[in-house]
Amino acid sequence: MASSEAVTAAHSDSLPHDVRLVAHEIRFRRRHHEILKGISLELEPGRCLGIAGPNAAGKSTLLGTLAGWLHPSEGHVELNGRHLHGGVPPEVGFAAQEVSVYPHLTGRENLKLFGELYDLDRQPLERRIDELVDRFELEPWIDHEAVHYSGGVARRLHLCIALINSPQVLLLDEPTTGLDPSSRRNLLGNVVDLLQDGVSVVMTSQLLGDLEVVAHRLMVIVDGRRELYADTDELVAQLGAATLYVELAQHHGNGVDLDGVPGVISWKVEPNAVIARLADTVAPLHAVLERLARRGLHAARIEVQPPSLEQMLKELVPDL
Amino acid sequence: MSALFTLFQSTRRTLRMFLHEVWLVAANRRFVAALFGIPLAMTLLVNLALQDHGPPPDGLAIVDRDQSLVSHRLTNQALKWRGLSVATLETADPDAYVRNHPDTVILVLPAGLQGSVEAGRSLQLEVVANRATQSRAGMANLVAYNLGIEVEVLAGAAATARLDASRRGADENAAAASAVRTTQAGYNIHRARMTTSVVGAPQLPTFGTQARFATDEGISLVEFVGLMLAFAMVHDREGGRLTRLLWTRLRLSQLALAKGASIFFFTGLCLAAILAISIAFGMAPGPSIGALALISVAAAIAVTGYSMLILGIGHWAPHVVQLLGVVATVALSVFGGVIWPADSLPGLIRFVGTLTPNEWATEAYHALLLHGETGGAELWRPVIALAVLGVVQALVGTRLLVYAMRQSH
Repeated sequence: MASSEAVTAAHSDSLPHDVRLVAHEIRFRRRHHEILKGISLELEPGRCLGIAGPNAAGKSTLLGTLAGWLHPSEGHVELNGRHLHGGVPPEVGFAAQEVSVYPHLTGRENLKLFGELYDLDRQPLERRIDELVDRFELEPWIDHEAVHYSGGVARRLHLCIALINSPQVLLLDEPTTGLDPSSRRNLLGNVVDLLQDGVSVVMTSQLLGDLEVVAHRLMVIVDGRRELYADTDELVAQLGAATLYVELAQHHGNGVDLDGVPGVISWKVEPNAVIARLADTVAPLHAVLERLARRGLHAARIEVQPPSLEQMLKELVPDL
Repeated sequence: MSALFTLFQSTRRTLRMFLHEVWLVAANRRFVAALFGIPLAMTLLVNLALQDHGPPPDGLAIVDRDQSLVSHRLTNQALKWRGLSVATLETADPDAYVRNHPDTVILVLPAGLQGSVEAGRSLQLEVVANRATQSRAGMANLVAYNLGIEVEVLAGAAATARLDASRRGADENAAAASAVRTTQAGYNIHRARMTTSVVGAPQLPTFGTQARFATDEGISLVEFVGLMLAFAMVHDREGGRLTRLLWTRLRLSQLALAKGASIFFFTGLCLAAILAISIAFGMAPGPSIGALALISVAAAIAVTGYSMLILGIGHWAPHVVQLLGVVATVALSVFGGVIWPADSLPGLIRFVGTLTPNEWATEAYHALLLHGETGGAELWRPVIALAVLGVVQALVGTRLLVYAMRQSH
């Protein structure tokens, strides 16, 4: 199985030249504690970088640094070739994890306030508000106080605020937290639409399934370190068509060797089980069982599971 | 041009944020009721209970027992006296009436007045006043006195006409009646022997209970208003709203300025309302309304600075701000001489008192309302101290806010 660093190297070479956001070896320290330990990344127009990691891994701090809100202790961030410092530039839209809307203002008043604080003039602002209301399907709620909004509607408004000044780069910190499946689907659909419009997106999430839907590239951070940085397509290709789980009748898997079995992408042995990633759902199954039988091992139970990026990332990054 | 445009944009942002802060408070009716209800209700109750004595009774009632041309003309002249409430009255017992209406002075025009005047003899007018209010009934007494003079003049004119007619062998009665009519028609009681206008410096108002409440306790009430606004703004940090604002083009200095301006607006408004209610209920505003407004503006600046300090502490240490704020505001009243006179406090506490808005606001209001100072050092010193205190506290509060915002992420 390829290591995460090898995957990184393989995909760094294939990056397009049109890079919008770059982070160079960012380190961020606070009170003698290093929160980010040398993180680099690149992001192109219309591409999405998904960032995963356990709690307190440094995801939000990384977003704050990419936004220009936090100044890195070492390294730097460039937006369109310009170093970021001294605040969030207007080209960046930032939607933090907490929904930050004024509950006693209507959705429209919220959007108007933030738009005016971006120095947008009245008519362009009104056009932009109408456009966002339409795109995010907020029409039934937009003239009601935000305090009455459901979690999903409030989060959509929160996202609209981040987009009010038409940013080139959108930073989303755990945008699907607390949403029901339908709202989650809608919100991810909105993100996909934005990507198609050429907006670059950096999105953190605990839910790897969400990242799988929208992210072109994935980064896993653990304890401030970049443990994985790879194109989602590459990772999905490695997933194969299915995962074969064979529980052995014996209490050991000594001598198992599935190398060379046609259709087996990778495999590993657990105390009384063998797990293999298959290129095809059915065809390699017979060959695997035959190879095990040759070693005197028999299946007590066989399970063929659909491919899971989450499972794969957990295998690549055990601390995730 | 570019610098001007940048200045215009930053001013527009600050103004927008100020309006937003004002609207956040104004649109929350319950918060407004809590914020202003207590101070204004207390002011109203105190003013209802502790009204200073109003102006002296200036009511004059005329009882015309003669019902003659002369008495009617006298009455009409009195009715036209400006600045005095004059009315005609029909009563058989003026003494009983005044006993029951102490704010009224009665002038009785006796029966036989015209006959007596035309005979060339003045008839004494009768003034009935209540002993309790007589000393304050100056204007009514003045009118009665001037009417008495007029009667003397008319009688003199009649006597002169009679003497002249007698010499000429003409009809004395007709001459006297004609002389009385002519003299009275041209007589103006405002030009009578006794001066009819009040001149000279107005009497210095006393620093009564209403003024004491409106200024001394008023500052403490306004400090609580500022404290509540600061608490509300600390809560505004919830949900990351404050941070979110700073991700726009709004700068932290603009945000702090807008918040300070909105606190100044509301605390100033509250102080103005407290003073207005007190003045409406009879509190003397002092020799200069302008000076009263100037002191109040300086006091509102000082309270704003204090609120900004609490706001900064609130962002820096949100868990202790409520307790700290309430204790600090009570301490300001104690050290600032609101509860006990500052002069009676021990030396160290007296010194601490000089760091509070209460001490300086009290001094400034006393200078105006108690000593009648409208522009001297006695007034300017505390006014400047209030403004400096406000600006310094606001700067410290803003610094704490900046520090807290940087540390919060």
